[in-house]
Amino acid sequence: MALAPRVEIAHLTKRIGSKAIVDDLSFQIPAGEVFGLLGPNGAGKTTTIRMMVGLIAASSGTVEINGLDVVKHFEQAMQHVGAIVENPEMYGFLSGRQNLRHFARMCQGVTEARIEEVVQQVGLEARINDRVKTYSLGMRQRLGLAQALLRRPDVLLLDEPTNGLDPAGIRELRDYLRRLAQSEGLTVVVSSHLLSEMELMCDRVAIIQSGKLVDIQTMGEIAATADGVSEVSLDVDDASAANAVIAARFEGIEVKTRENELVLTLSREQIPELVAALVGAGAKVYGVRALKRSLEDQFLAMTGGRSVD
Amino acid sequence: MINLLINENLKIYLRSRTWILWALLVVAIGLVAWTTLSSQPHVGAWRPQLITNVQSLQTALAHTKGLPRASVQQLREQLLSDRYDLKHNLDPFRTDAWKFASTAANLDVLAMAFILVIAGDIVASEYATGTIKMLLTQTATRTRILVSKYLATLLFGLATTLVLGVFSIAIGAAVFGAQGAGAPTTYVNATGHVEQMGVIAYLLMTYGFFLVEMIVTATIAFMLSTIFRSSALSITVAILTFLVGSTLVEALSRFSWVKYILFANTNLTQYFVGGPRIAGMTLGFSIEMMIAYFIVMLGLSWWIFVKRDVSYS
Repeated sequence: MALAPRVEIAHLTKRIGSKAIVDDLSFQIPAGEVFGLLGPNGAGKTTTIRMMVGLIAASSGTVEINGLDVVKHFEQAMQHVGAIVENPEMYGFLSGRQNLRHFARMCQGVTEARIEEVVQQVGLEARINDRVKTYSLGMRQRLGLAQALLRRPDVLLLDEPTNGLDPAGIRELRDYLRRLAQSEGLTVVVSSHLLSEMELMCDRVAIIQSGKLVDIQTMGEIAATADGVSEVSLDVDDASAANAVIAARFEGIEVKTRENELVLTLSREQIPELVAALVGAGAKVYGVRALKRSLEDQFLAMTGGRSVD
Repeated sequence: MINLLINENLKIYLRSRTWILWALLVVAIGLVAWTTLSSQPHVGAWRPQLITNVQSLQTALAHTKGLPRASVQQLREQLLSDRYDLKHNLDPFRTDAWKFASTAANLDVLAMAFILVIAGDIVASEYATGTIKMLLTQTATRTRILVSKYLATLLFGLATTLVLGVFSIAIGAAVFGAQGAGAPTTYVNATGHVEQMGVIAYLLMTYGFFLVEMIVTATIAFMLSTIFRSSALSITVAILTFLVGSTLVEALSRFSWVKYILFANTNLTQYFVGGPRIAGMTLGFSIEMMIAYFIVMLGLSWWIFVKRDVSYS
């Protein structure tokens, strides 16, 4: 029996004037998945996230969280959602703890013990009683995350969460989100225009361009490309001997050589053929590796490399 | 709902700005006390002083050509009041805590400006800092958030009025002594006759009518705050409207349509002291006008706040 999706978006559309900012977007996200919204700036990611939390009213279409419509049942639906939209802006004149208490008062059943728990979870114990205006961006990000986790949400929505974080901070956030999804079954939705980020963080990625859903990719399948061609790396004992074999067998193929590693582009069926030829010619093959084509290449291929239009 | 109200109040009173405004108000009361003290005539000499005043007022009233109507009215009332004091042997220059408090009640303009600062900021500042996104992505509906903000604004208005009242009496008592609670206050009523009222009753009336004016004026600032989403703009426009509105009504008082302007109606004291500013206006009319404006302003604030998309800030 398939579980009901945590997040269900159906025909979500936002029109401003005659221009569709988000155009007939539909997808479902199950529990425990880290789901990415990927697209160039202005593609409609932030608008989509804002519609998911009721900051922007949809022109048509629906967003359901645990089966609850976020417009019709805002209070009940939002009880299951924690969100940071763009930057985690907090009240600078209040301390971190006062900020968390402020947001805790706004929903049901968040105790002082729970506040303590999330503060520990995000590792902010040392500075939680300081005023937020003295916080660095990384600390604000942690406080924002603590705020989003307060009411034990089933769905965590993060809009451009890595904005302004240093590489260590990005890595920490990524690991933390993955852990939450795996250990607590949290559904995480992140948006980003950073492709490499999404590759490392997400289970699935929806590619959006000009408000339209271009494709949804499962990250594990990303290596197998549409036309079945992949880049292969060979680890051999004698590169020049191997090169000669390849040149004889596959005419006109381009081989990049780096010490004893050869990189060439082949169709899937050609790979065993190549290995057999090399072994038959007495070359020692220590390893054959299909190189992943990065999402970036695919993303650029799919969206035609355009940025904003 | 009560939790939201606690939040909004904390966001007002945990900011040092609020306490600075109140401190300024108390300093202003102190300054009024100091000025009053240094301008008091010598004890016992009030009668000849008052007689001189009456004479100069009569001279002034004989040459009123070119003077604005309101000024002439003021001179006339002063004359009536001075004559009344002479006749009933009341020393108008003697100051005590209560009388001082009535004088210091003129600082209500300053108190109102401070209330408008908070009222004009309470919604706009959430947009300016971006915290509006955090605020609206919790479980509370927009209507409840707006209502809690509005109630917090009115509570701040009430608190500021109390600061003015309590510190006026306290500073008055410290400087001039606490006696005189039973003394009468003389004033010219709506029909141009001099009347007396207990000073405490007079104070309560003044403050009561101020609260009415405060609610309506704070609502203007609150509405501007939701419309403009900019603290500086809404505070400036609200204070300017408050200051210019009253003057404008004064300047245009010969036109009868002016009575439909909100500011012709906000000061209900006019029906008890001095008489209505525009002929033909009644207490009932002013109350109706205020309620009408009040409903429109709150309705507009609500509609805009609930319907507007919170997009890129």
